[in-house]
Amino acid sequence: MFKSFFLIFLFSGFVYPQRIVSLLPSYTEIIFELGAGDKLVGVTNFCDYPEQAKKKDRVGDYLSPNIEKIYKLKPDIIFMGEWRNDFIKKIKNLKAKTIVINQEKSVEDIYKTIRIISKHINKEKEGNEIIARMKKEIDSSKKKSYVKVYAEVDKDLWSVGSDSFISDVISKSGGINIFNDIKIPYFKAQWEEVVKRNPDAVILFSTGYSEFVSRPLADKIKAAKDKKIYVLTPEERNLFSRPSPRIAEVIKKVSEYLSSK
Amino acid sequence: MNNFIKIKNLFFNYGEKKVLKGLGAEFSADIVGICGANGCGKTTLLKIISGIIKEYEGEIEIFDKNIKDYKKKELATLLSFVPGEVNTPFEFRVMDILLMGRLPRLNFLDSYSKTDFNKIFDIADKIGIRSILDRNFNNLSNGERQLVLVAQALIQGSSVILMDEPTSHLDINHKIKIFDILKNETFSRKIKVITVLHDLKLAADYCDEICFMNDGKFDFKLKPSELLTGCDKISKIYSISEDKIKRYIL
Amino acid sequence: MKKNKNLIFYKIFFSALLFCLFSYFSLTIPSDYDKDILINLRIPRFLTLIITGFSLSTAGMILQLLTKNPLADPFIIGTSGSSMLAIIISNIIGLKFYGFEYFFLILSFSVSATLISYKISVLSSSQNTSLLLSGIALNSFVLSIIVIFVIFSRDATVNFFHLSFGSFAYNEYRVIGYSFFIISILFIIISVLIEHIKIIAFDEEKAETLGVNTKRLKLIVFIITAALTSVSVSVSGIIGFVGLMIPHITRRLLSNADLKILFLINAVYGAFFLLISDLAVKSLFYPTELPPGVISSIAGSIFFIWLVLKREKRNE
Repeated sequence: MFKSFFLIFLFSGFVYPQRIVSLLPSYTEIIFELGAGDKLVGVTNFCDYPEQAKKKDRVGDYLSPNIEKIYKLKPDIIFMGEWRNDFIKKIKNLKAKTIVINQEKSVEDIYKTIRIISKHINKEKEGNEIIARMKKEIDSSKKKSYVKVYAEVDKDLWSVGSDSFISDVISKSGGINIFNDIKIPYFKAQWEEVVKRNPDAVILFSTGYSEFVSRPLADKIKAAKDKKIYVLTPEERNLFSRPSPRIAEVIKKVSEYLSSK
Repeated sequence: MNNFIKIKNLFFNYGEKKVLKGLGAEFSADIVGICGANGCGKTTLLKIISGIIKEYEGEIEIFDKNIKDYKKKELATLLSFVPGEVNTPFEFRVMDILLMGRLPRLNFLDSYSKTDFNKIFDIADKIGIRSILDRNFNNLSNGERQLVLVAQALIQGSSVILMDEPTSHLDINHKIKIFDILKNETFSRKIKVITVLHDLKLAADYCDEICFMNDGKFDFKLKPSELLTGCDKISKIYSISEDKIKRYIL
Repeated sequence: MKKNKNLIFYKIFFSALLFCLFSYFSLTIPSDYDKDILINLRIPRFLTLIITGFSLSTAGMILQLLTKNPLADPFIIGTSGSSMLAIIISNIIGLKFYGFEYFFLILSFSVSATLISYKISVLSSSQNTSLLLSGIALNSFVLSIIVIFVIFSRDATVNFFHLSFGSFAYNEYRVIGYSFFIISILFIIISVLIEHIKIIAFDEEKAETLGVNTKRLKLIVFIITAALTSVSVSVSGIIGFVGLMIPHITRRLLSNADLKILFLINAVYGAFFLLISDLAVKSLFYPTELPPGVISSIAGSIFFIWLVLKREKRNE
């Protein structure tokens, strides 16, 4: 019996991955959060959290990873999102195990991602702990509802529909996306519609405050009258759109903002 | 007889190539034909006289005044140019094209008046193109197109008409028709015609004098009656034997 | 007989126009509509559309006539790349979009680029072709620099997309007013020069011998084209297709009209076309927005193919 335990102990080192490559900043955060940061050998250029992530080897942009560099790092497992098929094929050609994770469209999808990653690196217990912690923080954050929110995620009226991650973050924060009726995740809105739907609060991801209020009839919008126009800093912008455990912080912050005077 | 066009020492280069090398001439006859081998500079000469090409050396006088001293519009009332052919991707009615001929006589902000239209109808009748006034220029036959271009020049009402191989690609009936009209005009309105020609027979029938160009200059000129006796000179220009030329002219 | 056909055509056209205007302002607006929105958003949008349609179709027509090339587009002479560059620069230095200084920046860039193309083309023997070629070269050069810049900045990417396809949203009445004023002056100049332009479109050498100063006229017309194009770009970004195809459509539908009337009707057709495009966007894609350049390209290509096929049938 000792022998079998000994063998299992030996093999566990080989069976469970020791060299991980992450091709999305959110996965990098999750892996560190799970306590497996030391096993990460490659991250993308955009992986900037936590601080230790910045010291890891960069394998390129997550839109076009440097296959050769990934190969040189000899990973056991690679976590990537569902992108271009030709890249998935090329990466699958490397001898490592490749896990393709679907894009998160809601906060619940983050829990799915955490479960998938934690399962593959043998950190399921830690994964469940993170999920529980997030759920608790998010539930306690929910304050008032019925705050109509317009989110301009890219300059010049680009907004999000109900089938998008950002929209779900807004609803978890106690807001209602004014474009909830649209199933398209990312689209260009008509300014007339924004004015008509009269949001109570506006979140600007990259548009400037002055540019927004200088648009015709902007002063008629309730959000402008109540001065409830929140301009995200670049760090906040990243946080808002990154499906990582830190989203709980974001939801807390946003729900406080939305329910404040 | 007054020389209406005087050319002195005309030099023109097309890039590195020397085209006109000190050409000089004086024209007084009613219909002057200009002949010469391909590429000897006939078309270039016409374009310089008509003002299309402006960078040349030498002096050109029309009615005793240097063409550079004329205002552009004034020159247009004295000279008109008939190109060998016109290529345009757009549709133009014959009527519109003829109206263009009236432009030099129009003041800046005027539009075309009844006088203009009447003149056009007169000339259209004379030339016999009244029936095609409403048709699209691009849909006409070669002969009809050339008639329109000649009509346009006549409508311009200029004293001198310069023509660049106007009948090269026309059938005989149109060749004759056009030159008959021009001959008529030189009688009735005292206009002068200078035309570049390839057809020596046509030149013999209609021109009052034929000037031969060679190597960037005028070599010699002949009256139609002198054509046969001048065959030796002609053969040198075209580098064909004298006999062949004689046979062609006869 | 011909007069009757024309009359019926005009009747249909005007009824269609009225119907579209009516739909634009009423059918796509629900009953509890706000007067404020109408005055401050709908009407400026409508006027912007008209400015764009007028400028682009006219610029296209005179450019095609002057270069004797039915495939010339007003953006080809260097105005597309240069206006994009101007817009990106105004973004960097923080000029307000659709404002006054913004308009002049675009105008100066457009005209300068056109002058550069023109100067290059004058040196060659076949000026018309060279003008378009040097315009294309200039556009490509500027565009590649812009693209390099855009790859490194996400904000610029989105801007770039918006720029390439235009937008009719939010213009101030002040900008609209100035644009109309400038267009009117340019139109007056064009109507004075139109006979001369017509002659150049027939044969440049004949134009010269008819007393037209072709060199000066060409320069003036190119500058007018650049000015019209930049008015359009400054109010609605870059909208392709209109300048290229609308003159064709006008010529096909009204082959025998006097050029003075033709160019005005051409302008109206341009505006009408954009009106229909915007109507389609508002009814089909509500409440999302589809950039006008996209619709005009699709709808226009289809229409043009139909026109070409119709012509082929006639020739057989």
